[in-house]
Amino acid sequence: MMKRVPWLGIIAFAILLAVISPLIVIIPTSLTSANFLAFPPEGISLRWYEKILDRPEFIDAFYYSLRLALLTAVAATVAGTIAALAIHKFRFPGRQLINALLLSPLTVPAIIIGIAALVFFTRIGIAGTFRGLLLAHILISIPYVVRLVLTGLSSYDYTLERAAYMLGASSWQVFRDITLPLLRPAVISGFIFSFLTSFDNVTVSLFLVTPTSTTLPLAIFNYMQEILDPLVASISSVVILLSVVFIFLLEKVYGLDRLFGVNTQSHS
Amino acid sequence: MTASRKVWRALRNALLLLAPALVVLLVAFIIPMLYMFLLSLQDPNGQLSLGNYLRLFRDPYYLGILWRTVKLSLYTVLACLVFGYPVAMFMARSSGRVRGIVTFLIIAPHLISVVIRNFGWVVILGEKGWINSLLMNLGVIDRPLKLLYNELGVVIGLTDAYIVYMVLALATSLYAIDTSLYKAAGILGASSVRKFFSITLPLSLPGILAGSTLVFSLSMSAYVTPALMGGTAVKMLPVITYENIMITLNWPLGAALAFLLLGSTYALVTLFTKLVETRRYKEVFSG
Amino acid sequence: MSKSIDVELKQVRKTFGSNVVVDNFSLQIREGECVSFLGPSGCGKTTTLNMIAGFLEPDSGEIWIKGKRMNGVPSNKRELGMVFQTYSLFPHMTVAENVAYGLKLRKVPKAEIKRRVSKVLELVKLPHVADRYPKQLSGGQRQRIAIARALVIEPSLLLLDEPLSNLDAKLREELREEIKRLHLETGVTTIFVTHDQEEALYLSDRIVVMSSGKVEQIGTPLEIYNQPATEFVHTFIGKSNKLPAAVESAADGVLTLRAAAGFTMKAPDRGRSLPAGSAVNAYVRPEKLRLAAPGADAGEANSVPGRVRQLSFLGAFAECEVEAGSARLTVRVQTAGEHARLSPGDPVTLIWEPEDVFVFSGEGRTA
Repeated sequence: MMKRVPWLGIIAFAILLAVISPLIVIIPTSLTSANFLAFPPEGISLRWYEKILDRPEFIDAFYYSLRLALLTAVAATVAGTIAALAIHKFRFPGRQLINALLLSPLTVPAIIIGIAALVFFTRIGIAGTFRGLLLAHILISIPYVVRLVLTGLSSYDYTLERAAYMLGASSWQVFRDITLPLLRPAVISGFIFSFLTSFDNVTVSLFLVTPTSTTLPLAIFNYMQEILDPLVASISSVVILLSVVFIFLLEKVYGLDRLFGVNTQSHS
Repeated sequence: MTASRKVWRALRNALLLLAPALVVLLVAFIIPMLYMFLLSLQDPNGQLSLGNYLRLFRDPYYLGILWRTVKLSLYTVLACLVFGYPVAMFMARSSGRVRGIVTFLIIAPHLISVVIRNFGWVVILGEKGWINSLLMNLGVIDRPLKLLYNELGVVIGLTDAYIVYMVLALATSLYAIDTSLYKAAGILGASSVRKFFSITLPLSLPGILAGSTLVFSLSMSAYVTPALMGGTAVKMLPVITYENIMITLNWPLGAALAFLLLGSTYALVTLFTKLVETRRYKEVFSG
Repeated sequence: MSKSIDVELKQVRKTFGSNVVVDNFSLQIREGECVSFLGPSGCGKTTTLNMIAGFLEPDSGEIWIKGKRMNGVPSNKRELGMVFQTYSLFPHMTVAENVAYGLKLRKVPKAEIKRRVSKVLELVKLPHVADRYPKQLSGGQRQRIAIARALVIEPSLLLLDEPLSNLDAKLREELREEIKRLHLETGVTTIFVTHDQEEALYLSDRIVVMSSGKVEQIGTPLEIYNQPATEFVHTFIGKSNKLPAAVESAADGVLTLRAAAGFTMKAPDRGRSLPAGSAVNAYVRPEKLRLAAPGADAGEANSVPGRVRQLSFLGAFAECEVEAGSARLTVRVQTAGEHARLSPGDPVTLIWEPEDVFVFSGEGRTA
C-alpha cells in the first residue's frame, strides 16, 4: 500500500485546526488598535484590555462567576463523592435506581433544566438569587463527580482493601490509607470539572440570573447581542487563558481522555 | 447481627451519605420537572387541560419550528459524521502518544464556554470576518458570503460545538477493531477502499449510533449557538421556548414547548436506534 | 516435644442459598505445618480459606486459631498474614511502604520498622527494590513482596490464595521453590489453596483434597498418591489408566476382576466391600505399567498382550499408548531405555503388580 502522502493525517489535522480556529482568532483580534473587529487586526495595542477595567459590569460578573464556580465545585465534589462511596460500598435495595437517579441530569437538556428550575424556584422564592443559581449549578455538576468517583472506585482491585484489612487496619484506616489516596485523582478532577462546568455555564444560568447580578458568560452573551467590538475579544481572551490553566491542570491530574471515557492505549 | 438488621444498617449509613446529593436532586431537578409538567397542563383558568399541547400540534408555526430544529440537527449530525470520521480514523491509526495529543486537542476547546467559541466563529464568518476578508482580498469573490445569521451559520456552530462527542464515540469503536482483520482482508485481495467499506464502516456502527444520537440530542436542545449564530432569522425550538418563558411570560406554553422538545428528541432517537439495531446488529455487537 | 495444634476447624459448614459450599469440614493443623486445600474450582477451598481469614462466617461449626475461638472475630483482629491471587500490593505506596504498612498499624517504632522491613526483604531475596513502586516490578517479584508484607508482621498463620496461578510455568516452578524455602526458614504455619496438584504435592506437609464442598481425603502427599481414599482423589492427582471391570471373585484379600476390555487381573481387597458381580473402576498409573517382550512370563503379576499404537516423546520420559484387548493404556517409559525405541504396531506384553491396582466402586465421583 503506497502511503507516501499521509492524506489522512493532513485531513485530520485540517479539521482539528478548523475546530480550534474560533479560539485561535480571538486573541489576535483582541490586540487590535482599531475600534472595530477587523481582519487582519490593525495595529497591536492593549487598549481593549485596558477598557475592560472601565466596565465594572464585566469585572463584577467575573467575580460573581468565580465565587459561584468555587462554591459549586466544593459542594458538588463533597456531595458527589460521598454519594458515590455510598453506592459503591453499601448493598441496599434500590442501589441501581439511586445510581441512575444521580446521573439523570446528564440525560436532560440544559435548557429544560433551566426552565424547570426557574418555574419552581419562582414558586419557592429563590429564583434570581445567588442561592438558586448555586443550587442549579451544583445539580448539573454532581453527576460528573459521581461518575468520576464511581469509576475510580470500581477500577481498583477490591482485594487491596482486604489486604489492608488482613494486615490489621480498621475500616476507617482502610478508607484513609487506601481508598482515599487512590481516589484522589478522581476527586480532584471532579472538582476541577465542576468548576469549569459552572464557570462556563450559559443555558441553565440564563433563566436564573438577574440583570444586576449575572455570570461572566452571560454578561458577554448579552453584550454580544447588541455590540460586537474588540472588547468581547479581550474579555474572551482573558477567559480563554484562565480556562487553559485549568484545562492543563485537569490533564495533568487525570487526563482529558480518561475524563471523557476514552482509552487512548494503542493495541496495534 | 441478623441479616436483615445488617441490611437496615447498610441502608441507614448509605442514606446519610446520599442525603446531600439527593436533596439537591430533589429540590433542583425532580420536583421542578414535575412542577413544570403540571404547569404545561394548565390552561389560562388554572385548570388541567391539554390545551397547550393541542395548540402546539395544531399551529403550523410551531410545527414548522420543530421541523426546522430537527432538520438542522440532522445536518449537524451529518456534518459531524463527515468531518469527525477522518479525525477518528487518524486517531485509531496513530500511536498512543499521538492519540493522546489529538484527544487533548479535541476535548480542550470544549471546556471553554460556548459563548466564547461562538464569538470566535462570528469573527471568522462575519461579513467583515476572516474568511470573507481573505477571499475578497484575494479577489475570489467580490461580495461577502453570508455565512452567519442563517441556517449554514447555525450548522457550522453546532458542528463545531458537538463534533467532540462524535469523534470520541467513533474513535472508541474504531479502537476496538482488531487490526489483524485488515491483514486478513488484504491477503484475500481487498483494496484499501474495499477494506474501509467491508470492515471499518460496519464495525464502527456502534460508534456511529452512539455519536449520532448524542449529537442529535444536543443539537435539538441547543440554545446559545442558534441564538448567537442564527440571529432572528433562524428560530429553533429552544429559542422560542426561551422567548415564551422569558419574554412573553407564557409559562404554561413554554413548559409545553419544553416537553415537546424533550418528547420529540427522545422519540426520534429511539426510532433511529431501533432502526439501526436490527437483529443482525445485536448478534454482532452482542449488546 | 509434640507440636501444639495451631489451627482447628470443627465441622465447619457454609451454604449460599440452597447450595452447600462447604460441608462438615474438620481439620487440625499443627504448628509449623504447611497444609494445602486442593481441588477443582467450586470445591469450596477458597470459601474455607475465606472463613479462616474472617471474610466469611461459617453457618455452623467453629474455627480456632492458636487456642482462640475465631467465630465472629473480624479479619483485622485475627493476626493472620495473607497473600492474594492478585498480590494486591498497594499501587500508591513503594515496596518498603507496602511491607511496612502492617507494622505501622501496630505502631511499631520507626527504627524497628526499618530493621524488620529490610530483614524480610533479604529473606525474600529482594533487598534492592525497597524504593520502587509495585508497577515497576515483575510478577514474580510482586509475589515475593506480597509474601514479605504478610510475613513481616510475624503472623500466627500464613494464608495463600492460589499464589502461583497468575504466573507462567517457569516462574511458577521458581516461586514454588521460594515458598518452600521460606516455609522451612520461617517455620510459620501455612495454609494455601490451589487447584494445581503438582504444587500441592511439592509444597505440603499434608493435603486436604476437596470436591463439591466435601473433604475427600486428608493426608501426606505420599498417602494421597499411594493410598487414595476415593476415586476422586486418585483421578485428581496424577494420571491414571481407567479400566471399567466387574468383580469375578473376592477371596483372601484378593479381588479378581474381569476388565471390560477383555482380560482379567488381580488387585488387593482394600476393604471397600466390593462383592462378586459388582461393577467397579480399576486404575493403574502409567508408571506402574511395564513393557516386556511378547510372550514374556509375568509370574504372579498381572499381564496382558498388547500392541503399540503411538509413542509420544515428552523429554525425560515418553508416553507409550498400548492397545490391550479393547482398551488403550498409557505407559510411561524412560527415554533412555530400550522401550522408547518401539514403533507403532510392535507387539508387547504389559505387566503390572496387583498392589498397583486401585479399585473403586463404579458410583464414585471422578475428577
